[in-house]
Amino acid sequence: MESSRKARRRERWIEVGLAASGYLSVVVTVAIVAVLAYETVQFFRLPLHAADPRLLSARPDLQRLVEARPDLVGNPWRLVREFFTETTWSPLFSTKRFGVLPLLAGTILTSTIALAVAVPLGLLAATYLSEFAAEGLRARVKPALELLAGVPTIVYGYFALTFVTPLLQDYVFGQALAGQNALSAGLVMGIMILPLVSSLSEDVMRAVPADLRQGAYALGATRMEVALRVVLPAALSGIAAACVLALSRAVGETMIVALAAGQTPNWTWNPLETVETVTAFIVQVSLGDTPYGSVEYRTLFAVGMLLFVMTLGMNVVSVRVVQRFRERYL
Amino acid sequence: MTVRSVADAGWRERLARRERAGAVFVATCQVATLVGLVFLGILLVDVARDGAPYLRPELVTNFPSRFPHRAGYASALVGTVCVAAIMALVAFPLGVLAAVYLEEYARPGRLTRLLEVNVANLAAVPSVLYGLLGLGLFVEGLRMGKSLLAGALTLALLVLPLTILTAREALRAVPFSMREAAYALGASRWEVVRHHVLPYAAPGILTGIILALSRAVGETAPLIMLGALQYVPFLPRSVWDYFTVLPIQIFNYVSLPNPEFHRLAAAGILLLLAVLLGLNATAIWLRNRSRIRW
Amino acid sequence: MDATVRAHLRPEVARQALPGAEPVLRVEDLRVWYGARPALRGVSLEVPERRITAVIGPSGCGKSTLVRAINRMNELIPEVRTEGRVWFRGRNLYDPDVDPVEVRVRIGMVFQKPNPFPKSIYENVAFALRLHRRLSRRELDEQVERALRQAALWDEVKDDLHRKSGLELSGGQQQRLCIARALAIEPEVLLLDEPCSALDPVSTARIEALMEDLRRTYTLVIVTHNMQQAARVSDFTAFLLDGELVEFGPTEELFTRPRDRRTEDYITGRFG
Repeated sequence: MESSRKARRRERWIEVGLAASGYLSVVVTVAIVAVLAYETVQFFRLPLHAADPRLLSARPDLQRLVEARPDLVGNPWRLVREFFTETTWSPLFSTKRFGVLPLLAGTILTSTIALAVAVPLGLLAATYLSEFAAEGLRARVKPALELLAGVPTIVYGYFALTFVTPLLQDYVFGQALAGQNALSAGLVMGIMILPLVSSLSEDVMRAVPADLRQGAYALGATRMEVALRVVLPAALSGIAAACVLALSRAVGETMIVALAAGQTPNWTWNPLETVETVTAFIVQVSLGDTPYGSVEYRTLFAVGMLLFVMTLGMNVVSVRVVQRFRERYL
Repeated sequence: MTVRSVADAGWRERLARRERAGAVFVATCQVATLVGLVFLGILLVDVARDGAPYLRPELVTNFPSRFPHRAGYASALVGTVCVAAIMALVAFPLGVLAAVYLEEYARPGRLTRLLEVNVANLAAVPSVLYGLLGLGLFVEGLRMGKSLLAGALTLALLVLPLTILTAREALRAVPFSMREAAYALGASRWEVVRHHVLPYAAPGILTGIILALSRAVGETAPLIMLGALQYVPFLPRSVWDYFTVLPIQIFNYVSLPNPEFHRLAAAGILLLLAVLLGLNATAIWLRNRSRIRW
Repeated sequence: MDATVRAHLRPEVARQALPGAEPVLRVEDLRVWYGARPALRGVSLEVPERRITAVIGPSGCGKSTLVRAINRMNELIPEVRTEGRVWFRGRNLYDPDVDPVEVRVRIGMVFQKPNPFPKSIYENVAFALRLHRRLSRRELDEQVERALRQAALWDEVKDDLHRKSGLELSGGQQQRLCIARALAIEPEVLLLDEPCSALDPVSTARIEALMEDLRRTYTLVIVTHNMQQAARVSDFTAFLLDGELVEFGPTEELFTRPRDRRTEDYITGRFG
């Protein structure tokens, strides 16, 4: 009896320990949100800090802010409005403007190009692997495609900068294509996320019940017609979820755009120009000297919060869509 | 009422067209499937060509320098190994134990579901944001400064969700009959896990760990934000010291205007790919070894 | 012989059957293998036009394989090998230059488990029409209505053609939708592979009544494991055992005066 009570106590402690490891992930999430939220709030309170003479005297970065932007001092809502609506972003320069839209434009431009590459190619590959390829071929091609996802992004960034851009300059665009541009970065990113689209879409397509295909064949459909008119439409919501996930990955991508798209914010939709994405800005600031708590330091987190909200939103949407797809068939 | 067959002359022509369209479609799909692989092939050839001149022993024994012919990746390699080792020590036990909890202990319900969703969301968070977390929490909050330890801990948080997910997959693959048999013999839950489930799932778990390790070794952005410096001409003397890693060193060399440094970067990429190849080959070898045993 | 089966026979049908019941399909020495396992060992029979032919037999005897060989659906399975001939309108359907698509346009199929597409009711029925014919919008509407009427489903769905998905219908309705879908392109032969086994008795009765009507226009071949159903519904019956055709003849004869001992054993319930 005694030993069994001890044994049960031991089991209980083990379970508590394991649960602690399990709930650690919750702690991490809370930490991310807390850190981002705290610094973001501090960012939007900068105008108030700048209005405080006691803080000003010790903080050269606040002094620079006051000098460049007297209109912001004491006016936090001005900063909020500027952040979300204006098209000049220069927190690291003396002009100190805080309109985040150019960064968003850079992110949207490069991600859209990436999707424009990954979705058609990925869907075609998925259709092939799911509806046409023999099992043996599929078993060999699928892991090969996964390789693309395993290459470190810095390698892709290097390739985009030193091979793709010069190639496009030499054979297609000439000097109209900037040395760092959205197009090269977007193209290479597209290839990087292609396995994501193709793998997830393929899984979804294979999950479409076989008897639907049988029904279509029995009505005299060819293989392509079965794939395009029955399987693809049936799998559409799952495919959409895969695309959203791929978009999320593209939005969060850093090294390819930092190297190949540029480090100069640019409010443009022209893919041939240099742009800076949200993620590239975060890297750019970190490369420089950013003392803790300074204006520059805080912009990092405000921009990071924006990124977090965007990617989280996309992931939640994607999961919900997949759930609805599963409910329909299983 | 008579039956009118659709198979008239015009139909036959249309059928021939439909079949031809099908053939074109399949060919297009095949090309699309190959595009990615061809791209990867071109990439590797290009990198190999660029980096070939620098593939010599000095590549791994020299420290960074202002002169390309004197520069190398010694500090970066050592930094990578140290960071990876500490990260592994922290993340992998925690991740596997968390997976064990979720898979073997947690009762199905709203709370567990929340946990699972949380892990899935964390796995999808961009790596830069883990960098920001590390910056705010470890470097500044816990005053670790731009140290190797802060870098390792941040990477540990980064790979934790991935480790949990892959470990869970491995645990899920263990047939229920095996657990059933052990329980029937009077084993406690922990004993079943420790002596039956974990050994069986070990190859899968190990593969997942190596996957996570590969991911971490290739990461650049989060460590940039933690201050992994780009000019570290010395080996780290302690976990509190400044450090650099392979991808960061590559990034540094690519960013320099001198094209010779770009070649050095290419050579570094080859190094990095070699390391990753080695890791994955080890994973496959370990998998095959364990499979024979079972 | 089983009294309940006898109760289902319709002798007047059998009397009509013989004159004018020309064969529309002739199966000649059909052999099918799944890998190394033989599923059909040389089956030969003739399917009379505009009659209902039932194929019965115990589980695994090859009924489905036979029927699926007629519209070349077996080919979709990679391990399947087929030998023999199936004659239809003067051509061997297994001739190398016959496209299976053409076979399936003229010989339609309804499956055991209703499998409507996750599309609207209209789109389900229009699916084959869009593939094979060039029709104006009005012609398409007419054909969809015609097919749904022939499947005795029109009145129930005519107001929801575009709004309701095929999956929102009840089981019996879904199966009638699948029948309508197959009838849309007016095949000459309709194969039904255990069409009622997934349905309740009421839906089953409706579909059997439907088949009675369809017989006037189409040739029907129905696979069934339910002997009462075969006796109720069919004009001719084929009994398969272990991949072989044991007996074929007018339904009333096969059930009241079976020629083969094995047939008698099966219909009296001694096995299967």
